[in-house]
Amino acid sequence: MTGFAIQTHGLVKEFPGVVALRGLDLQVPEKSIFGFLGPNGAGKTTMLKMLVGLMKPTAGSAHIFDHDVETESMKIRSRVGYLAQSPKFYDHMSARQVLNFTAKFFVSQSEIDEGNWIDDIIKVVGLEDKADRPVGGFSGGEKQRLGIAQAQVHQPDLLILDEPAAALDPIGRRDVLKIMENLKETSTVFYSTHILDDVQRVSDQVAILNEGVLVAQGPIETILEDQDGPMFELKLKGATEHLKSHLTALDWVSSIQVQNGNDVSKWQIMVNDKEMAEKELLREIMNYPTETTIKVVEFTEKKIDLEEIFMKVVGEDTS
Amino acid sequence: MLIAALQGVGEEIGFLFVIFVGVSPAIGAIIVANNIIVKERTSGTAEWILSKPITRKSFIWAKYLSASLGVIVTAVLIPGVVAYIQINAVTDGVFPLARFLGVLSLAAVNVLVYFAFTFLMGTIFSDTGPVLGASFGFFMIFLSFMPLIPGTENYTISRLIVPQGTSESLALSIFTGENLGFIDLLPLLWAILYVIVFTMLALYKFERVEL
Repeated sequence: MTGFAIQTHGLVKEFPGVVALRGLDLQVPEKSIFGFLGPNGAGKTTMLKMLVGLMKPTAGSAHIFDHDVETESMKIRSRVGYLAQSPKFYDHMSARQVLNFTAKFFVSQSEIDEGNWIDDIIKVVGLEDKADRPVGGFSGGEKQRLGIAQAQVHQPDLLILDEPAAALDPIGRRDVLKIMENLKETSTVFYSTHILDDVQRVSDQVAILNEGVLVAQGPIETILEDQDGPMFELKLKGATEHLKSHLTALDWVSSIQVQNGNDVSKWQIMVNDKEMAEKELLREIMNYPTETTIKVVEFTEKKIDLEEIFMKVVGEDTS
Repeated sequence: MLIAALQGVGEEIGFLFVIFVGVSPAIGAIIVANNIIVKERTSGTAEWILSKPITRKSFIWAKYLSASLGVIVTAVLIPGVVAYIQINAVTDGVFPLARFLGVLSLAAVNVLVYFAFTFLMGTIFSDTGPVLGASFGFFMIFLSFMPLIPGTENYTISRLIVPQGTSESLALSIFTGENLGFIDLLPLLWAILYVIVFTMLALYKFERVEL
């Protein structure tokens, strides 16, 4: 046992004229909530489909609980719950029938009845009122809830969810995130998303995929810390023409970006010694000799969030 | 020849029966089979089912057997039972059941050929347009075009249902109780071979379909 629920080595997926994944090396620790991020078309869904045997890799390998996804897919699928990006079911079936039908892939009907599985899971996803209505009349959000329910109906060791909160309203999103957090005790949750706020809220590990390449991977805290260092944001008034070169010369300042406005200029100062910056930065600015006094309108320590890192690593301008 | 063969059982009923068990169910089979796999793929239900611990072979066999059985029962067996009752009602005595079942079996195999071909096309194309086009093209070749080519009567499936050249259709020969030699049964053997090959190809292709 490796301690990893998912491991991929040099995973490649090519379609005619397109390389969707370019040698992916990914490790998802067991009992983690792992957010798999990337812009549209980055290759997230392709990756997830390969893990559950819906697509075959062009090269490289992938293992789930040490089982090869190509040769031991049945063993893998018996331990995995999968939610597709836009879950679809047979429209004539009720939610209860969908869940019963799904559960029978894993256990006998008598076990399902004895365990009261279906009612329990319907309650968890909040579909009690709709349980006996045909799925064809469900809204996108209700289908999504049902999709989450069917993915976990057999209490899998690993949940693979493709955009689980995408079609949900804020309450639905909150509920799904809560479900995912509760599952952490017993399962590993590997999910793709572009809702960065959700990732930061519930995930303990993330990977960022861009154009088929993994550009960042690890615990969220580490990824946030791995950036260029603490950053201070200031808004200044007055003659600041030569201030930049003065500050750049300080040992503990890494870089400075200035955006000049009509009256106020916005400064982003990256530092390599946060303590020193907290103590000295304001003093350096206030005491800098100029013709007119420099006024500090705003001074904040900028907290880097996942969205900024995401934008940075996928090559977008956050401004 | 057709008229002569049907003498004693009622010309109209006999003629309609042969058309009914031969041509119409084949068209029905194409219409039913064209959407089975395509719909599962495009609607996303195949993705849902195949993410569970089930083999693709099991999935495709379940679809194949349930749909083909449905076509045979509704398009061949039930009309056949009705026709048998009608034929006996308008003729003296009882029409030999074995011969009648022989014709129905032939019709079932004929239907299966078109069903299996259309099913195969459904694993190749992801849209019903090309599936229907290819399947009706296949149907037209064997029911309209091949019978016009002399010397092919024992080497195609056309003669199962329609006459070819100077040879009567196998269905009508069984219906009228003609003695048949091995060479007369070749179209049936071809048909069975077609069904097996098309079905195996569909299984092979679906194993490789990416969902």
